[in-house]
Amino acid sequence: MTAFLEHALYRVFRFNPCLTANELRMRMRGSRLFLVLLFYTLIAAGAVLLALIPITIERSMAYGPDRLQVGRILFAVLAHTQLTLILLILPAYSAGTIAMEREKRTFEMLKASLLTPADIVSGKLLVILAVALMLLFTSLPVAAWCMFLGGIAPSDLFFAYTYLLAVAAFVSAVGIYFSATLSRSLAAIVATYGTLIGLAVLSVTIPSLLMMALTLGTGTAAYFGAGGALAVLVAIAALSGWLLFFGARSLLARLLPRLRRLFLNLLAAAALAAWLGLLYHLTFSLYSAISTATVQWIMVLNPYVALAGVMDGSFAQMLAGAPGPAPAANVNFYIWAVAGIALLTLAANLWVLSVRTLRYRY
Amino acid sequence: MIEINGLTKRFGALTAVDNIAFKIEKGDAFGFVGPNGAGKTTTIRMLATLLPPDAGAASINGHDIATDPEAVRACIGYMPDFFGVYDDMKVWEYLDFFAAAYRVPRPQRAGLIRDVLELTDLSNKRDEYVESLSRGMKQRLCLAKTLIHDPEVLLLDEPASGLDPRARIEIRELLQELVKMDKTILISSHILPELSELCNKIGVIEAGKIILAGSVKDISAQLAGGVRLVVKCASRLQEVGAFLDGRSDILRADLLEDRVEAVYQGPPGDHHRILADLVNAGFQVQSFAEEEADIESLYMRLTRGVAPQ
Repeated sequence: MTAFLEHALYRVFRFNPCLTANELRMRMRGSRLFLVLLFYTLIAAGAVLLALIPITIERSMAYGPDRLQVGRILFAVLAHTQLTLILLILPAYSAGTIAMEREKRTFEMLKASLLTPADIVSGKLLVILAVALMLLFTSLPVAAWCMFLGGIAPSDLFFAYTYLLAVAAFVSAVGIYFSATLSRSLAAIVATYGTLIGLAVLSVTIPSLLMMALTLGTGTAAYFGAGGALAVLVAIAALSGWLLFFGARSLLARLLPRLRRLFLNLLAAAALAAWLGLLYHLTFSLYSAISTATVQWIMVLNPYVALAGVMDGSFAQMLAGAPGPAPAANVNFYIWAVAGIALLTLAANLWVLSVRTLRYRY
Repeated sequence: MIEINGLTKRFGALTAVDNIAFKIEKGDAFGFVGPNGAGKTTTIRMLATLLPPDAGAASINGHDIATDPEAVRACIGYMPDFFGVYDDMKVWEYLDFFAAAYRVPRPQRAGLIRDVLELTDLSNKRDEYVESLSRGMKQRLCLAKTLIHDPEVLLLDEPASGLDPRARIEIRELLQELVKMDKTILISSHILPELSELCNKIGVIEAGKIILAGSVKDISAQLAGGVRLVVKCASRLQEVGAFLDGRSDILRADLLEDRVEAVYQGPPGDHHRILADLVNAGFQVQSFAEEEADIESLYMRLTRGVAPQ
């Protein structure tokens, strides 16, 4: 079975998965991964329990949140705790990978083998994503506590976890990019955390500028805000469209080797058109769904939004749906989806950059 | 098998490898000799397709290193001068990983791993952790890894550097085994005796330039200015010395305790006449041999005065 899978992966995607298999075997040894998983779950559970204290006090008063709202607040706390933990843990895993191999003088032999730069980058990325999956999986029982109170649909759970996985992919891609570019692992780790912190800071300042533009204004600020929003959307569409077109074409060429180039281009263009249509639909459904809440509109445009949301509490508030009437049922889904797509687009572009960097580096 | 044509590599202002050219035939063991920093490692890295050359071309097994690196990688085994091993990994897993990296199909791997472990004398270490092995064993393991996809060409960059004498001898025996297996081997070293027993060809590199390349025999003849002859006789050794010294085709004859060493400088390949003349003159010749030149003294002669500074 594994032999068949290996063969199929190689035939279709030109991807040799041995690096992932090997590294997973190495990482499962010893107690390090177990301890990381243990503390991850303990911290996530602890955060939820701590949040329960003020909520219980508020509930004792007349105007406290109802049961469903408590469930939503607790789930938002869990999601943000996990987001923070992923942003803290995964850079350390990813930024070390290739630079560490260079330091330990193992990379040269890897590079001289038949593994391509794409094999190496994808292999490393998959290892970290597997670790991220394990982290998210161990926190599921904590999510079950929150769902127990009601107010969280299974789809909320699914999209929240998918979004967290997209964040993990992005963080890993940033780490691997610096790891591929820089020779020292320490430099790669510093650069990765630096970039992520920089993005977090920007994600707080740019949305507030945008918010000012959208709520207060007319004139320069409004144009600036709308222009910025448009630029982000166009960038997402262009980057993801570019990746999709060439990715689809090369995949089709391998699956249907006898098809002529013109038809390949046409098929890839059709996939591209379908994709842009979906993006357009997502964006406008989102816009109409959340036009009442400016904050949510801004969130869509910024992959780091969630972190900014943690800082000013608006995200939890929105998820909890308080105060006022509950938001449309599908709002959260769209936010997760578009933000996740933006992150995955960035991650895929970083993947391409890393592969190019590694072509002539050992 | 390996053809190098005007290969050049520059790092900024420094020309590490300067327009070198030589040829290695199938089954040759080519000793790549030169002092540290002469450009051996840079050349080998270019051949291993790790470094793109700035000028010139090289091909291995007919595949160009610049235009078809994947085909080159498939047919070479490369062992770097310094290397590390992974933690938390057993010997067989290490080999299994590299077998997979070279796309050896899974069903064949177990047998191959057994074979290379046996060849490198590590069979009893199969289930030990790689980092627990001694330096010499790690070196042998790296050789085993280099052989895992049964490459025709081996590029070995100082395979015995930093080893104690015993481990050095073990590596040398292993390499001799590989020569017998008819692998084409390029082996670099700055220590000459290591290569003298192993290689049939040598190339001497200094400051990025090939000073001399060819078979060990040719080079030593060229350097000694002739063929070195060693004559042993049952008696009258002094007279033998005088006899040889008096000949016009003998450059010099030295009388030693039990033998006479002479340098022949007549028509190439005609030194058998000397033996005939000795026997005709009534000397009781016990042994008459052409001596392989001592590769180390040869090296000292070659590299003298060419080194930078």
